[in-house]
Amino acid sequence: MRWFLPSPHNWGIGMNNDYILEMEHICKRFPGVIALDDVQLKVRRGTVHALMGENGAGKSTLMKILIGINKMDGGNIIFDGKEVQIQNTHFALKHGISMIFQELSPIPHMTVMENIYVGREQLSANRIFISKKQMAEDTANILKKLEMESINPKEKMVNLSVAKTQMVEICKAISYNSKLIIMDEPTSAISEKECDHLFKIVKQLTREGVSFIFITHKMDEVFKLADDITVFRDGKFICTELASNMNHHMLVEKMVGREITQMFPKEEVDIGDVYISFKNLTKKGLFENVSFDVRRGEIIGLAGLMGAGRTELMETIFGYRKLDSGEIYINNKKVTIKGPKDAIANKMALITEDRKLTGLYLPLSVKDNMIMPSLRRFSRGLLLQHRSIDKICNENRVNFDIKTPSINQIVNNLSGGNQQKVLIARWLMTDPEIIILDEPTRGIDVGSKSEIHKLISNLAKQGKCIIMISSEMPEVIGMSDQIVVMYKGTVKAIINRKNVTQELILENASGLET
Amino acid sequence: MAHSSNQKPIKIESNSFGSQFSKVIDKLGIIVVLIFLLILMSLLTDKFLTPMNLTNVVRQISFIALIAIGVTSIIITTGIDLSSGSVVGLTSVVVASAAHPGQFPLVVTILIGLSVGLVVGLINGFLVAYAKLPPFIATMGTWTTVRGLALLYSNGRPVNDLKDEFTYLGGGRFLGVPVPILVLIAVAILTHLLLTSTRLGRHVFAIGGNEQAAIIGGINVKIVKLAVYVYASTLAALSGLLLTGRIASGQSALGVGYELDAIAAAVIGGTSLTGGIGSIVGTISGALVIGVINNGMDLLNVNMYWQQIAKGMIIVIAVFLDSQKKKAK
Amino acid sequence: MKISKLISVLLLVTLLLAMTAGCASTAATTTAAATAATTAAAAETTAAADQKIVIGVTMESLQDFLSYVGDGLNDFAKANPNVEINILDAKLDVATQVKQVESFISQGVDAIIIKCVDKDATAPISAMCKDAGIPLIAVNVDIGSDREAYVGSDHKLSGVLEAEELAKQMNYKGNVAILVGDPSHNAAQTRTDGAKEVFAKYPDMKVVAEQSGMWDRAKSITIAENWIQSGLEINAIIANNDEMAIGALKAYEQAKITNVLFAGIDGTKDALSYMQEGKLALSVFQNGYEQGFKAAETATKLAMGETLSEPYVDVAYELITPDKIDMYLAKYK
Repeated sequence: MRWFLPSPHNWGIGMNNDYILEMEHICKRFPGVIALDDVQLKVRRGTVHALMGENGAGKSTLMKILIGINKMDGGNIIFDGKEVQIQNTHFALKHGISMIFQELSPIPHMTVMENIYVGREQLSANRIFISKKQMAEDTANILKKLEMESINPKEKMVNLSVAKTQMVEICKAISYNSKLIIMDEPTSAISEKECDHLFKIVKQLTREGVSFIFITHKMDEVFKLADDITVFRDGKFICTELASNMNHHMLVEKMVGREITQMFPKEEVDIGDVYISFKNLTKKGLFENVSFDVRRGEIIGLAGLMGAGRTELMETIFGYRKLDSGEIYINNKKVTIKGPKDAIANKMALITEDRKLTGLYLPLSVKDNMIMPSLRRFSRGLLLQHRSIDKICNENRVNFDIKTPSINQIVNNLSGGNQQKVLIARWLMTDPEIIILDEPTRGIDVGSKSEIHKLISNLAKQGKCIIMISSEMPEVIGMSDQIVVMYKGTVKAIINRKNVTQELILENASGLET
Repeated sequence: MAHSSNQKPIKIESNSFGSQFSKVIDKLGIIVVLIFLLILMSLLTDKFLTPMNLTNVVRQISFIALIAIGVTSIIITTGIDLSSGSVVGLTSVVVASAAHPGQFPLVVTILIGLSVGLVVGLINGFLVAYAKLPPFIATMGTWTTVRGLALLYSNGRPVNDLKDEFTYLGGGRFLGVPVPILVLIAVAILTHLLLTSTRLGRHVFAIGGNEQAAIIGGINVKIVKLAVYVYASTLAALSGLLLTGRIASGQSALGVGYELDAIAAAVIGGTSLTGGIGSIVGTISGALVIGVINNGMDLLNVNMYWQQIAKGMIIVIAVFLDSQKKKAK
Repeated sequence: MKISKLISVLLLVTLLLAMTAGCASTAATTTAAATAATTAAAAETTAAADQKIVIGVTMESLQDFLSYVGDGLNDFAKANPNVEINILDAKLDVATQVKQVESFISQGVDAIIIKCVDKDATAPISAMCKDAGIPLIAVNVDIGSDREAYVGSDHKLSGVLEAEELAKQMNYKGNVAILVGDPSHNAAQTRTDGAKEVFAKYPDMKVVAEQSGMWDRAKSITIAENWIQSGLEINAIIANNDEMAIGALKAYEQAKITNVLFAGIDGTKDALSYMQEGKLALSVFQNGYEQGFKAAETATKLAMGETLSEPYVDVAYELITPDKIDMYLAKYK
């Protein structure tokens, strides 16, 4: 098999210093953010190296630099003993670095073998036609190696399951003679059995000298598979350790690592009676048996990893998606919500995660954005009452401290924090009792962040019910009265403000038994 | 992920005749529609299923089919070519003015004609692949520009007095088969092999299926796109050249609306406008479906207004049936 | 920035040049008038003769037959140096034609000649010209009564002439198939009507098929091939233009059927050579050149304020049969 590296001379010696990859002093700046601040990553040949960190720690950015999608601002990369300048993905592939992306992107209507050999099709003796026979044979050989004989090399990619698509991606990496394969959350969409198979193959390949960088949020997988672990936090390098020298509590500590600052102006308010309760909410494939209550004046923090089903749960509650089973009670009365219209009628408001995609009308003015769901209130007959609209919008501008020269400014020109305030103002004009905020401070600078936190706190003080999805640990801990932690579509724990620690949340969110 | 866990069992190598046959039917649904139309027409008139008439039908579609073959390759890359009808017109007047008796050897005349397509194709390809214009806009520009050039070149007048060896290309027969049919068969086989069995051809599909993956795979997307546009325009020129021979006159207005007929043939033949899917067998079948409808209605002496209505409806129904069948699968 | 500056400078220079040129010519006229010391009336005619008459022409298209109309227009301008003719091609689009007339009006032309795209959609054009006080002359196809003049030939007459001669050659009996032009064109409709009226007069003649060849030779080959296959007994094919007649005769030639007559309209050069070879029985000559020339002449007259005795300027259709062919071939020399 010519695509596999000959066994490296020094595998099995145990701890060795033969690095396949050494990245040092890597810096990367995006407008307004330092994504990577002088980080390093050293991967030993023939090992699985787990790269760990919270969302936004800089893992993906570093990998994109390694594979040639992003360019680094500073630092150097030594790959396989030579200093390299990685200009593009094709360069990386040719030199033996490949990446299996979380979002797989095959060419759907072409066959497995064509996907593997795209751009490098093997020719037959006449040098004109492609040798399909040869390609099929080689593909079959690689598939056999990966114990995936059930995949037909001539099958079209559209007909494959996600797990098999992933295996094909690994085949492709192997066919490139890759010495280093990056896997970004490879297990997020596959079953446990498929996952075991994948790990077995990975182990087998490391014995042949292939190295892996493994990114995952699942702690148990790390300790099952990884030889070494590197931790990043906030774009900084924290440590590299042998996995055998660590346990998951230590790992979580390294990942979180900071004191919770008192930047969250959560005010203590009197919590009232239960206002809305969810009983056994189920939507197949997304979440199951979700139950919790929200009291007046209470802030519920909804924590969990990406893909835990938090956004989907909130969208279902708001009527974007149809509930399979379960009940919602407001003020002890059962309500049915068939669509967002019903949710609004029941005094709910949803401020979505992606402001630009599902929230704002970007080319319209601040005023239009604020007023849109409340137009009925401001019209007399067929005509809009422009004077009262202007008045209330200007009041909002002052109350929410929205920094804009005028309410007629195009909302796209505002900063992220001010856009978020416009959205909050919009929904408060509908006079809601239940306010759902999905990642309310994502991508917002620190100053505006605390203003939005203050705003949320004030709403709770007025007796509103708040449900806040957040992936930022300090925000969840700082703001919430109760923290609902979700894992794979189920509620893993409901933790009171008094008892909460970051470790506790992270352990529950990663599905660890505690 | 768009496709969650659709754990369908994968069919593994089944070489029995039955399954092979059903696979072919699955793949080329439009052929079923074509066979149905052939049977229907034979039942409606005994004039339809004669060797003479069938030869006529194939010759009638050969000009559009040649263009459609090129357009299919373009559509597979997610592009489009609106300029092909105009290329037919420009080629017609240019080639006719180089086809007077005693002027050039026939080969030179042909090369002059094909070079018209080559040049327009280079322009289209450059605009799309290098200047990054949307193909619709780029070829819409050349569509009107090239037609204008044809008018300018000929002053709007037909170019007549063409040598016999040239008109033979469009109207003559070789071994009893009309020359345009022979050319069509040759081009169809060549293009089929090109698309299915060469690197360039597979790269055409890869680009249409997932341009990003193609770039990562190291495919020179720009060159491939350029090649496809040049190929398509050259085939349009070839079509214009043969048609000019057929009518024995170079006309600037030749080929008006052919671009849409060609696109229709490709799409009826199963080429996906979103790219990555298409075949020459399908496209030829698509062209034949249109040709058989036209021919059958003329044989039945259907009123000329009704012909247009019926044609449009049959095309929509054919594609609808095809798509239903694909969905059912 | 630099480029826009450059453009404005250029524009300014052009403007200045134009103004000086204008002044110079006025000066020349006055001196000429002064030295001549003629009567007031004479001075006026001189001024009129010196004054350039600008005629805007919008054509449905400039292809085939209409290119000869264009030649007639241009030749009139060549023969009359004081007349400037500006021909635009509306490319078969009604909206383009309207825009072209608008721009003629804003340029302040002295007369407008139109070969309409759609004769039922010319009301806005007539109204605009009337408001602007610019005489409107229809050429080739009439646009109704709201125009100063119509220079053309009677389309229906061409169909009648064509059918009568064909009937005569068929001894007033037999089956006829009609190749219609674009059925939405007035010329196609009236020519077909004229022909049908003729055949209806003769009890032994019958129209057995009618299809639209869209004025196109390639399309007509296909239709004729299918007619041959359909087994219809057809003794003659009468087409609304020569191109379609040639297409049909090529199909029959290929099928080696010789006893069918073909008739066309236009008398194109190509048609004449087919007639010389004995393949085309007859054609009807529509004198496009004459139409163009006379339209320009009429427009000039109207622009100079003359009145016409008759708003319809007829350019007669002429029947072309093999015995008269040399005369028409000469026109293309």
